[in-house]
Amino acid sequence: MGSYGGNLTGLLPMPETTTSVTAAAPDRAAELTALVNEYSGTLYRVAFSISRNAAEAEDMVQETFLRVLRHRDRLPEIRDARVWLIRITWNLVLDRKRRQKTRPENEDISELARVLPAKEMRADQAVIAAQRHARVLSLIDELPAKERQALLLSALDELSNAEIASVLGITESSVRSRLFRARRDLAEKLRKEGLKS
Amino acid sequence: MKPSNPATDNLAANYTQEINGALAALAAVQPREGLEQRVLACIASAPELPWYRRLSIMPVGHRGWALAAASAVIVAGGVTMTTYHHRPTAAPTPIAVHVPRPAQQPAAAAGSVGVSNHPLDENKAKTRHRGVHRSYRAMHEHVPLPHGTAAPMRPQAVPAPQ
Repeated sequence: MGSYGGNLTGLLPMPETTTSVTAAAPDRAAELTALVNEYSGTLYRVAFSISRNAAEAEDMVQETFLRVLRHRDRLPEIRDARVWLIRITWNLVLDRKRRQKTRPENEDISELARVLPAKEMRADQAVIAAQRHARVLSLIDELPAKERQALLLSALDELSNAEIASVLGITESSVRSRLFRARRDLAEKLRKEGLKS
Repeated sequence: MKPSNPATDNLAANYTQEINGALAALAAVQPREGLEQRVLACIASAPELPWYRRLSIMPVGHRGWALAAASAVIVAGGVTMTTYHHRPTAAPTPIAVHVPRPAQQPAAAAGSVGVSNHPLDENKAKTRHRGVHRSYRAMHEHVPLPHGTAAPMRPQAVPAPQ
């Protein structure tokens, strides 16, 4: 079994007689490279919001672009590449989570502690804040799936309600109602936990 | 959807900062340096899919052509097989020749069913019991005996002891 080669411009071997197609091959490879450069970070955050594992999130990003590579002929048909990519990553992460069934108990608090604004607080405060965030996130995981998914996608600043609706395949009003229910239920859980704002 | 309750709405408002803080932390997560390069390297070294996997993910238009080509090959193969395997061959007409069979002598009849007096054939004769029985019937039922000869006693005609 061969490989796609070390050069992305050689991804689409085409007959040289069709000049229009040979021109399209490097275009598509360049388009794929541009997608990787532009959306890797967003897809990483989407994957991390579900998996809470840095290595797994990175695997998901790579798997997403492998899927894109396999369906590269459809790239010109895609209207909104960002939502399309997020939807691929989202489904991949959910699939993997479903297959794993049991979720590891230890949340990746170190990852959260790493991204907190450490300059504004002392080290011990940063650790405490990371633990509080991890606790809130674990409560989010206890929410019903529909509400949880809407809430996690809303956490990404890049996504509007319309885009969340597109990713989840629901209407925009459904997204709003799910977000409302998610926040209300989460606040109730926080009250029971005794976490004070 | 449940009716809005002012108490719970107020509760949600109280915890908004807490919730937003956690979600913001989640949204601020950054990948390790060089994620793009790793992804590009992964794509470049990805193995090509086998033909059947490529067919399954092929766009619908291309898949239609591939299916048409595969169907044409199957039909052509079927036609070829049918042509070569079902070619009509003239069956040989059986020639019926009626030859009257000469009446066999008892000794010859016995010999014809494989009964032999040779000592080497003794074991073989034992395994041919049915053949011997048939030869007995052939000799005494179907072959007319000469006049004045007493018919041999049949085994079933022997009276049972009283």
